[in-house]
Amino acid sequence: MTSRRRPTCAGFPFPSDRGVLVKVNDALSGVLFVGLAGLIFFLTRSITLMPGQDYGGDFFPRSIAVIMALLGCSLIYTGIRDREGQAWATPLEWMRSPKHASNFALVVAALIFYIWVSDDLGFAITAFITLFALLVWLRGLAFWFSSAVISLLSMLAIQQFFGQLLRVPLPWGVLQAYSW
Amino acid sequence: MDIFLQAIPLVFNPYVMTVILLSGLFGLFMGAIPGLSATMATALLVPVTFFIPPVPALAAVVTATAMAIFAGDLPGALLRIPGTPASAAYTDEAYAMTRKGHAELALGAGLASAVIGGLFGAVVLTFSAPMLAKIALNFSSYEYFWLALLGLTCAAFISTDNPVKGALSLLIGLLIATVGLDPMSGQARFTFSSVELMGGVNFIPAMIGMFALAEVFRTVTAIKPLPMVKQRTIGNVFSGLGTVLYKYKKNLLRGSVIGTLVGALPGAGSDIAAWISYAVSKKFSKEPEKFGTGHVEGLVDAGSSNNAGLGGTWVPALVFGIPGDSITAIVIGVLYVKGMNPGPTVFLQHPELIYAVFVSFFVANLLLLPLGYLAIKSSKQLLRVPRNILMPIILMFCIVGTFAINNTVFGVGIMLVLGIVAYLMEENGFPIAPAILGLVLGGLLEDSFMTSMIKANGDFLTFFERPVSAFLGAVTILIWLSPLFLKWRRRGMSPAGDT
Repeated sequence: MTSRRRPTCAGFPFPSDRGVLVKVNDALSGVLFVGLAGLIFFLTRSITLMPGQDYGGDFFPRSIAVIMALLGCSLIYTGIRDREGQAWATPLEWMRSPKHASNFALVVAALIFYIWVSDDLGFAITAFITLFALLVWLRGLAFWFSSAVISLLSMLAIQQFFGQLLRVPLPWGVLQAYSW
Repeated sequence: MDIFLQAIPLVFNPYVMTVILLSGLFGLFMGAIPGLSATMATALLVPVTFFIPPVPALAAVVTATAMAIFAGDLPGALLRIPGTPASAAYTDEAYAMTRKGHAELALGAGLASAVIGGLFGAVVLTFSAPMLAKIALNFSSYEYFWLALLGLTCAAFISTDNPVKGALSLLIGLLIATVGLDPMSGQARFTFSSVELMGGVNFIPAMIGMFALAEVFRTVTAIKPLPMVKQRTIGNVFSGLGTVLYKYKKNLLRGSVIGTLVGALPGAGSDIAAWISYAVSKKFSKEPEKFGTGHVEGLVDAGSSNNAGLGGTWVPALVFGIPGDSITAIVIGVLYVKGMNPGPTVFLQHPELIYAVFVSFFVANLLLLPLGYLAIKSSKQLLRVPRNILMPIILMFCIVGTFAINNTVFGVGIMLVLGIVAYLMEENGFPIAPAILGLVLGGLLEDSFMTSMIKANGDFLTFFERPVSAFLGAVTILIWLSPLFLKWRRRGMSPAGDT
């Protein structure tokens, strides 16, 4: 596991503290990278050499895979060496808070929802629902009215800016008949 | 000089100046909100720059980043939370000054040194980039291969305290860059029969995912709420500033020089420049004991250094197409989109556009003075903007920004996947900047490597035959070997072999 000392950069304190908040033991990360390297070899097996060439399209990804596997092994070694009885994987602090875990899930769900329905429903409706759901969840149901107003105004501003000013063809979906 | 004069009207016209002003306000806002960095500001600007001409597009990026780097000082001084990583080096010092009742001086010194440092970086960029470009015109694929590899190596080694993790992050970026059709034979790689993936992973959704979406995740899962600003009012920030700047004029120059040099080093950006300048300032100070107690000296060094670093990072980006940091990695993508392929030839093909970028550096840094002053005066209001309202709106900007590139939601999917990957990587100590650099430089590295190998009939020693190529290759290999050397040296110094 990465040491808990404050990280340094060229002898100076490193600008970020994030690196010391280890969630998965480095050995597990290493195993993941070695596995990924193996997968690269597997997925590039069908790439063929062009006639008269010694190097094909698989050469570069496979070179990446070899280095990745070596560095992965190095992580496995340091992960096991520095483990000192600590857990292989520690849940992130927020994962133990249902509210914060839901926040994370909701952002992912909002994006999947947008990808799924925006073509059919159109940008305006999808963006409003997405914004409203996120705002109500993050701010609380008590603020539903102001959340609705913020969602509506933000949606209109983005529609005007990207759709009209920058001419991005945002989908109109069911509102096609009312497009402007 | 003629080209410089030709470039001035390209910037000083109402359209470009309006874009500069708006992006300046945007940059100040993004920098002042903790968690929203200059990189994120650039990432969110890119979809907009996609639709506007090259000069306002690049001027927007230059202005927004210069403003954001300074604005990061505001929450640093008032809340003890750096607005951007570039302000982290002196946040404690600035906050200590605020507690002593010297918030005005901390913010004023930060603003003035940012302007001076930024202008210094702009001067160096303007004079050094064209000269280096003339030299770089003689480079072949061998030199470009080593340059790309050197840039990536520096990124992996400098951006983190753990080079193994930095290198793995870089490999992830390089791997993502290989998705699509192989440049030599046109065979599909890692496309999983997806037509959209045939064209490769567009760097804009990737970058928005890795920088902006990952930050949205971090903010919505933040356990600790932001503290409130205790400072009641902010008085005259220019009071007593002249004396301080005169007293620490050498610090201003030293910070600017260090910032520009560190910025120009591939992989090191403004944040690392600020840390190094602050440490150097303390080391050579006549009053090192005052550092950490609310002493303005370190602020002058580091404040000028991080803004000077911005100009520095553009030197390798424009001249060699090798980004100095994650912001210039994004800029390189913008340059490609605008048909201004970075490298020495851009100085021959589009000299007026490049000089317009230089002019916009000067404009942005001069504009920083009034806009920065405005931001300081309204910092209490800026820091009160609720992040639980801001994040959903930023998320919607991310969605529309990625959609706008190819007009499909496929990009939104790429953003989602890479946003989660980047979030998990950073939580586990893997830096993100090398991955972005790998993604941007992967194509160049593979192209130059494969071209060189074909030219050399597979003889790798040919990569060392040309003098510049041999030098760059030797430096790269030495950097790779440096951890082993350092380890061996430490063992030699400690009888027990411990560190």
